[in-house]
Amino acid sequence: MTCQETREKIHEYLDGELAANQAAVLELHLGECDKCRDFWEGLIWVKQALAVRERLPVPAQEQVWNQVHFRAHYGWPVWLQEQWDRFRTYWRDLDRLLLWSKLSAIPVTLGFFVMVLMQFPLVQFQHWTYPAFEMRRMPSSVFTEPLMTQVMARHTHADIDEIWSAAWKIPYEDSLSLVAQITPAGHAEIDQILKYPKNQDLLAAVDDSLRSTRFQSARNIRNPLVIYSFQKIDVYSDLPGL
Amino acid sequence: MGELTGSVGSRIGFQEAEDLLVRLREHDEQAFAEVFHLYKDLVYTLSVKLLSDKTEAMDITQEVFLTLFRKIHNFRGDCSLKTWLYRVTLNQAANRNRWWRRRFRNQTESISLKLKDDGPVTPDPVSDSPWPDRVLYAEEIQRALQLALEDLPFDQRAAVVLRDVQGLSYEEIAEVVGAEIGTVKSRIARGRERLKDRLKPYREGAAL
Repeated sequence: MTCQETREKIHEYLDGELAANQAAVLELHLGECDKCRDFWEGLIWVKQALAVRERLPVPAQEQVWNQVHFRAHYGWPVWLQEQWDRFRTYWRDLDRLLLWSKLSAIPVTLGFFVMVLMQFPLVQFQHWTYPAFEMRRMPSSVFTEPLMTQVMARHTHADIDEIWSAAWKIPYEDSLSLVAQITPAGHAEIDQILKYPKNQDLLAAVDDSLRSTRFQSARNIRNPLVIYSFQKIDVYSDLPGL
Repeated sequence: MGELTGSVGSRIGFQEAEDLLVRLREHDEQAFAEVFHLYKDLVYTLSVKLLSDKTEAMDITQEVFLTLFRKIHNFRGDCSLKTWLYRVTLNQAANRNRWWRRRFRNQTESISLKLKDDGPVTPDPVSDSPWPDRVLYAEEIQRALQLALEDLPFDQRAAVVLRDVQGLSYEEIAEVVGAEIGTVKSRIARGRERLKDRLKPYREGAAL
């Protein structure tokens, strides 16, 4: 048996858990090797030094027993008191540096959650402003002229998504512009198309969107006409190979 | 050696233990008192050796028996009551250990050890001990041992104490700490070897 093997087995031997035949071989090695015998004696010494039992002193016994009795027989109020005590002492005894690091973690964590929540819009529609006009003859004039104003429209995200995806499918630059009449119900219908888009889907999507969008009434104007224009700009179109 | 490491708790018979458990489940006061008197020293010794602080150890003893009182219905009986109490003690001690380490325990001093250090060093002249110097030396060794134990990682400390102080078998230790037997063996080996190296000066002093 080598010294290495002896050192691996020696603890089991010390604990009396080594098989008899192996123990005999180990004893043989201990008889021959001074280093290992010294190692062995050191371990025995430690084991003997450790084998000293403490005894719970009698006054302490009574105190512990009484405390256990007291705490066991008063149900949740005592428990609550203990929890509160633990909590209080925890924060009281906390190292200053740790305390501040814990406290400063609070705003950071909150900020993180706010940032996550900000990804989900609270309101499910957007207000967009459109130019609008009405042909009107001013008292001082003989001509009818456009009177310009703005109307606010409330687009749902579903609407915007529809236009967006229709535009996204078009692989080239495209644009449309049209004039729409606001109906008494607050929606809009296409009145006149000034420029047709190359893609009919886009026109259909815009038409749908106008019909379902709620326009707010414009100030000073009874029958406003909305100017709606849309342009897709293909940024990559003049790059060769794309 | 056998006398020193034999554990008190193992001296009650199987039938007695079963009987005790039934009575504990019925919240019999007498049974709790019996269990307390059987195991108080075991629990106390384990916690003193693990935390090297007598006040803490008393606190833990209290917590352990309170847990016994409150949670006995959770004890399924798949291990012996002694093993269960050891496990509870170990968990409590590990919690305190963590708790104190968080508060830079290394920078604070253990009060009981400090008191021992500052206490009377001269032997009592009317002491009836035949070799007061030997008693003193033994105390000094115990103190050094406790300091060396404190420097061990908690796992190794627990394994060494359960084996060499409480005299549990490898299987029982594995059950208490919830680890494989191989792991337990290696923890005991490392722990003992480190203790041996730390206490070398004392051992050589004893040989002189």
